[in-house]
Amino acid sequence: MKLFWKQFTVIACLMVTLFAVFGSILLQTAFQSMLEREEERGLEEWKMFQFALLASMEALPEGYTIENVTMSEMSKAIEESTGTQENGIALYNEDCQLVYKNGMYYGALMAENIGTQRAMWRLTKTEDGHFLEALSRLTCKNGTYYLAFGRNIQYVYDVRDRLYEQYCNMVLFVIVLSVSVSWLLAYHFTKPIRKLVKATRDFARGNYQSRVEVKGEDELTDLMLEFNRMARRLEKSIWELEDAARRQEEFTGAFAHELKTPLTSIIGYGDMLRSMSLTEEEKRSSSDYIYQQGKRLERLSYKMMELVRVRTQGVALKPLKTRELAYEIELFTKRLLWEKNVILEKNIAAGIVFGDLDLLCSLFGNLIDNAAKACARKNYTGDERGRILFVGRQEKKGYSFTVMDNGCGIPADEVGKITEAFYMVDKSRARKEGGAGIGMTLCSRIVKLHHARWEIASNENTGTNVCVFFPEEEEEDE
Amino acid sequence: MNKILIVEDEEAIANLIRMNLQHAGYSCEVANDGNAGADMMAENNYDLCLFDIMLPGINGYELLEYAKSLHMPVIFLTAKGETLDKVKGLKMGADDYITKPFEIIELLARVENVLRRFHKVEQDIRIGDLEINMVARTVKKGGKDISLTIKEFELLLLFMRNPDRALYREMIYEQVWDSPYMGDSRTVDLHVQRLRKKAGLEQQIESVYKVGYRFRSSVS
Repeated sequence: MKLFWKQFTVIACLMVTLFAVFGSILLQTAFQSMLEREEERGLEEWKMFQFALLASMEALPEGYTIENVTMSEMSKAIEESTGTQENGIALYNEDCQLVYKNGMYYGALMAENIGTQRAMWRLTKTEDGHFLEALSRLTCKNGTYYLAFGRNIQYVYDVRDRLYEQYCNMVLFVIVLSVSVSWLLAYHFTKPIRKLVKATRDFARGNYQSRVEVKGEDELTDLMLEFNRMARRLEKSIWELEDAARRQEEFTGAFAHELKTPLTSIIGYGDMLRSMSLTEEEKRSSSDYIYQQGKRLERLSYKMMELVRVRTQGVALKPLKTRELAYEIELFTKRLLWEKNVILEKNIAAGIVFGDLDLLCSLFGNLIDNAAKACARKNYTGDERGRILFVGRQEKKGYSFTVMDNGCGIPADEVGKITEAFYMVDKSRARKEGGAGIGMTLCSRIVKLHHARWEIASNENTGTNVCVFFPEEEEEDE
Repeated sequence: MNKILIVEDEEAIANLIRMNLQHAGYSCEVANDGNAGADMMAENNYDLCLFDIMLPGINGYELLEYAKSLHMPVIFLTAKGETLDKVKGLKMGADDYITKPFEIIELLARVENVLRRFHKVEQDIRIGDLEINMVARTVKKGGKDISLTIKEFELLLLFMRNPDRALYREMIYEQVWDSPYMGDSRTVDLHVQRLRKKAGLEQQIESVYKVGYRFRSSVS
């Protein structure tokens, strides 16, 4: 059963039942109190009548019995004085013989209780309606009489029946009303749920932009807010996943390209060597090409291995003294700098960075290597030489290393692309220098692993600045 | 002699193609980037152009448009093996498409195919007293007609296009039967035997131990 129908049924039933129960109780109470009042009034009048009769009988001269007096006159007088039109009375003598009866008397109490000593009253129902009946024994100096009293209280029941009829109509009306009201209420309460269901269904179908419009301040609103938050989060991670997959695909494509080029040469020259009769010179150059391209594949595979290692392995970040780190890096790059005839100047402030020694050596080794290559590409005039500045500075919230060179620089529109795998600004030249095109990709992975940030600023012809900033442990974010 | 322009930024591959094409009797020129390639096209007339797609300077697609305006046939030569890339190249008007890495004889066959389509190749191939007419698809030896089956004809054509080159059985099979070699050398051997017998080429088609066959252009 749907929540809507549950809510609808419960509300509707509750409203109808409550109305019915309280209405009946109210009706019953009203009827009871009306009946009681009527009883009271009747009994009051009965007493008054009794009293008046007694008084007038006492006033009769000695020896007169009530039969002698025209009872009707007496009772009329009494009736006029007490003002009761509804009442009927009957008077019996000691032998239970009817002495007087007015037209409105219907009672049967006397017949059932002959000779009773005490006064009594009851409510009776006859064919003509409901009555209050009372009987009392009057004793005066002229003898003993029984006074029967009847009062028509049918109107009380009539009122009740009328009210009951109205009440039934009312209940019908209330049923209709409560059904529509509860339908509206249930519709209103389940509206956010329906919205959520729709949004969730949309989301499940792949529309990751699906959100719920949030209104109000109840628990369902909280749920909707949470849903939206979850959807945002999911959308983001799905987007990230898609992005990662796309980049992976691009990487694979670029990698395949990088692999195919040397393979083409190796296969081609190998084929020539095995199937053609070549001159000595041709044989030498063919095997040279095979060797060179094989070396290129080897370099590529080493770099790939390193990249895979950085990608898959978590690193334990240990505190490293910056001066010791710089010394290691200098050792690491010494030979290369000597080959390229480039000077490295160090200016390292004492400090501590958290990192993996090998990876940081690889990072700065790559950066210095790139800087040296940039220097080698530039033709210097006069006394100028290729210079690389390696600076370490203690900053407010961390430590920064900067590698500066005065080499050929990177064209402005290429700076953003240099971390893309296999991207090379000058492809054929980079190949000759032994580049595989993944150095900067590797660097950017290492930087990320160390929770560091980097900035690359470059001007064509004046050189490149790479600044790597290591924040202090505590301000790391995930 | 057909003149072929090669535009390829990888020196090793450019030289590989040049050496083989020269060996097969073409005249070749090499450009290392797109700009140089365009300049050379403007100055000389080439019978065929081989372009890499990813080139420094002007890329292969742009070079293709230029070559089309000069009515030069073009074969793309690239590592981009995606079907979409191939379709793009072919739709833009490239005459053929070779993906790296490629076999030399495949390159030669495609080059010759395109040249033939543009009627830039000699109709006849003549080695010694053996003569093949490509249009009529007839073979003559010493002026006498030799009747061959289709496969034997293709086989002879392959031999005559690659004189003095050792042809591996799998290569022969893949070129002539146009399906991947599954290690069954009997088919190739059988056809070579029949060809030798029919055309009297017992001397010229020689077996190469553990390799396959070689067609010698001159019998000593």
